[in-house]
Amino acid sequence: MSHTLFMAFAGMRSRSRALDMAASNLANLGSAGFKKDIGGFQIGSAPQELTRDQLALQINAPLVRLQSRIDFSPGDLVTTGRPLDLALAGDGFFEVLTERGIRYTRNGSFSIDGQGRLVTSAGHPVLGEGKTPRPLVLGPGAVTVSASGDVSVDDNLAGRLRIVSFRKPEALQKLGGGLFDAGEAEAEPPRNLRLEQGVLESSNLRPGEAMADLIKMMRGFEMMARAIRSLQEDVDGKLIDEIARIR
Amino acid sequence: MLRALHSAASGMEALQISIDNIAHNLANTNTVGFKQRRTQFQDLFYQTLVSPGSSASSSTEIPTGLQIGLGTRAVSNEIILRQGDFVRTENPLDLVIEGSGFFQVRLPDGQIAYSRAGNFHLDRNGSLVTASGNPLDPQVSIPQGASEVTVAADGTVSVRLPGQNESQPVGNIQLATFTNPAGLNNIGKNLLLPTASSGEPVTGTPGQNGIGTLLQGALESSNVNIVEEMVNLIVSQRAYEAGSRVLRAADEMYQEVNNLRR
Repeated sequence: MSHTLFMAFAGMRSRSRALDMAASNLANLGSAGFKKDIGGFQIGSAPQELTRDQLALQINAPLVRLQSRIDFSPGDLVTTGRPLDLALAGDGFFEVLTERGIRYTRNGSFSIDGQGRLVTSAGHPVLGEGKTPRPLVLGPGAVTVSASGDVSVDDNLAGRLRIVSFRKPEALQKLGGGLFDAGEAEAEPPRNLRLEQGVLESSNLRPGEAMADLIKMMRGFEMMARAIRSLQEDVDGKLIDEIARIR
Repeated sequence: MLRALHSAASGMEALQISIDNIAHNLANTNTVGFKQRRTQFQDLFYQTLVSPGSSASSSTEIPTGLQIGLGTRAVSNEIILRQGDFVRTENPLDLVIEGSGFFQVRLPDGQIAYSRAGNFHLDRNGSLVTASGNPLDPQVSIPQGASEVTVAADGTVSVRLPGQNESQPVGNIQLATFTNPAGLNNIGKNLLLPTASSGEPVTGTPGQNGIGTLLQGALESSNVNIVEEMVNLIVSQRAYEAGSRVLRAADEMYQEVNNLRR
């Protein structure tokens, strides 16, 4: 009996985590370059001690568990007309220098700081190509960016944006602030590089889909809760109150 | 579920800031030289409940793990420096900067502030002042009785004095540029102050070193695009609604938990 209870509990727990995930995804509907998390319900193994019991083996339906992965599908491109808004229409990530080393982002809403460096909205310098990647210094003037990442100021070539791709993007981890940590994943040149100037990539979350998921999650949660209640009242209750009653 | 409540709340809070910003932009559609601001969002931190690559058993690894984000925040609202439309006024003291650059305005405390608003007036001493009475820097004075004030593209101000046929230069208007004008600090009244992120002002003659030129008899209207702001308003409002739905969902799920034991 308790095993069924555990199963329903695991179902509730994984759905409440999925709700947490949906809440964070939806909260970031307006974050440029945001990549949503998708949760998959995974079948995990049942607690070990139950498998020893022959009866439990027969009813041994496994417990459900939530796993997350980042959905790297592209977001919609929105024209802003601002020259320092860059969008990666193909694959790849911008490389930025943070206090903790090199990180990656798809949010191309850049500015120029007081020292003339191209920086993200959090102030992290954006790196350009070179023998060793270094911050792109632009200074004043009209900035134009070509589809391949060449940055010119007033028609003088100032450098080339460093854009990299990953063969196994699933190894990337989110750090918040639109940044990704590549960890052990190996960077390689992007297969399909196309930069758009005056354009931002919006979040890849589809609100309609997210709402449908939300409803599914809530109803699933409700169902599990009802299962637990009915276990307590109808089954356990009957066992104790009726079957065990001594007349 | 507590996480969901806070994430949804963080989204709603950020959207409130965005709607405040849209309201401010729309309220300034008729402000001369006004530059719209745009709110930017970023995802907050992530909580790693199961890290990818951790071992599920002695021989298998968990391929993707479980990371749950904790919402969003409004990270900045930068100034969008797109040029506003020019409106012809035929008023000789109305000036437009075509291109980059700011007028330099001396505040009562001696500090220099920067402005794109070119609707100047004369004070009783004949000095060119802004609509709020702050003089241009360097000061430009129009002598008494002078007529036909002309401002050349390079900022030279000339007038015709009574009894003279030729017009005489009486001053120069200089403009300032910044490495990062989007990092200037808005202090209201169309005025901006430099900050560490904007860099030091570089002053110069209009038309030189990439500084814009002056155009007389016109004003630069606000660069707020009403249609764009309306679209932003709709998007923000709908996203706010979505956030409140998530809050309600979390609330109902809590209720469900509380009803488990009756």
